[in-house]
Amino acid sequence: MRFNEKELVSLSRQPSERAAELGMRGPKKGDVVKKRLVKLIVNFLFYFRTDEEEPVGALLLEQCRVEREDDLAFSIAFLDEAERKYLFECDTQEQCLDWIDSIIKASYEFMRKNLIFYRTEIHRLTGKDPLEQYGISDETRFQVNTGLPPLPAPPT
Amino acid sequence: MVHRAGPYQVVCVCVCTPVCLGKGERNATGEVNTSYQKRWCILKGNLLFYKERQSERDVLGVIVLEGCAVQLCESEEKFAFSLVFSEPGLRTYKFAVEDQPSQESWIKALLSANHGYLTLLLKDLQEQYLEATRAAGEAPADPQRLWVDTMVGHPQSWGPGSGSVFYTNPPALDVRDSAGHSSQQLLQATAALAKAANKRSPKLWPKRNALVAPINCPAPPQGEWSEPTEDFGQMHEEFGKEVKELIADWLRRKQGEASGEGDLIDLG
Repeated sequence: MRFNEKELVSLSRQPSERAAELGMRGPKKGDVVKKRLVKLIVNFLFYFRTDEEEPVGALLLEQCRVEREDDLAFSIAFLDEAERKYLFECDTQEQCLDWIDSIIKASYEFMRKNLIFYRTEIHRLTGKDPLEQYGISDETRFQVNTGLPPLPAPPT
Repeated sequence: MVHRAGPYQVVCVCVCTPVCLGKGERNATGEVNTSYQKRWCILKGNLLFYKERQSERDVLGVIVLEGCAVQLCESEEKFAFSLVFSEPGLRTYKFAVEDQPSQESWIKALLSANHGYLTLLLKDLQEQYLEATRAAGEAPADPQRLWVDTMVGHPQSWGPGSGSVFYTNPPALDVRDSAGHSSQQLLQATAALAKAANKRSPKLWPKRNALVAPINCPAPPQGEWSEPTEDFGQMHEEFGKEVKELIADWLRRKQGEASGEGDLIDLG
């Protein structure tokens, strides 16, 4: 499957939610930690060699698992290849936490689930569907039941 | 490259594939021709996947729906629309569908597919939720605790190397409710979410990144960084007005009638 490389390069030049130089290690056996400029832009994580214009690579942050590996490091693994982890080393614990937080929340899927939660809750509390005023209540992606596992019941 | 889009499924779960760009890769930069190829297109989030046919397992390619405008376009094909990227050098994709309802559906879906749209919408709903829980006298739930399972594994002890992640208490955040009073307690639960939304770089994609432009108009100028639209309702209003005006205008030209009331897309 091909992404349009130019589109991705163009995207990688947009303002980022978060950017920093981190140590990064690829998922393959024998990969070593290398210094990379890592940028979070929408739901993509781009990584560049320092001072290079074009990214070395990009990770689409969907269907992935973010894990704290140790005090200063986190990893990203994709659900279809759970053993292959991309490792990122930060300078401080706080930086590590911030990155994990941002990456999770950048995921379209994460946002969508939150939206469905709010939609359901607002409807429960007010009797109104908040998406109706925007004319998007029929959009498939915002439906409560889309064949995914049921939402956990809100805490009482 | 020009496509014909077939009936689509708007599926919420995204397929994921890590993408590595080699430095030497190039895409073919052919000229835009007018021959259409039939493709099965699948919209997932801000990504438009396409494959040769519905039954095909493998996806041919994917278009990232960021920084592009959805436009009605002039074409030999009926019910056509295009995706125009504001960056020079990026190709325009043209689509044609079977009928007017499909065209309307697709345009509507593509207009709201970008990440920024969902971000703003989510922020708006979050505020409504806080408002609603306050009015009902309920404590707002913490969405993080509900969703953390999905992405990061079961929240366990906070040990490094335990293979799991959970959040520390989000920092308190001072946000005003509609009465103008700060309500510290309301915000504990969703502070981190609000913080993430407010941390946005001031420069976003051009505000009108979903501009539907009349035929024969150039795409929005490249590099037009306007102030971000902070309010989803406002953004939605603008989209609605633009779309209505431009489609009405297009209809008039195409049909030679003054049918300005023909809303192809009802934005409420």
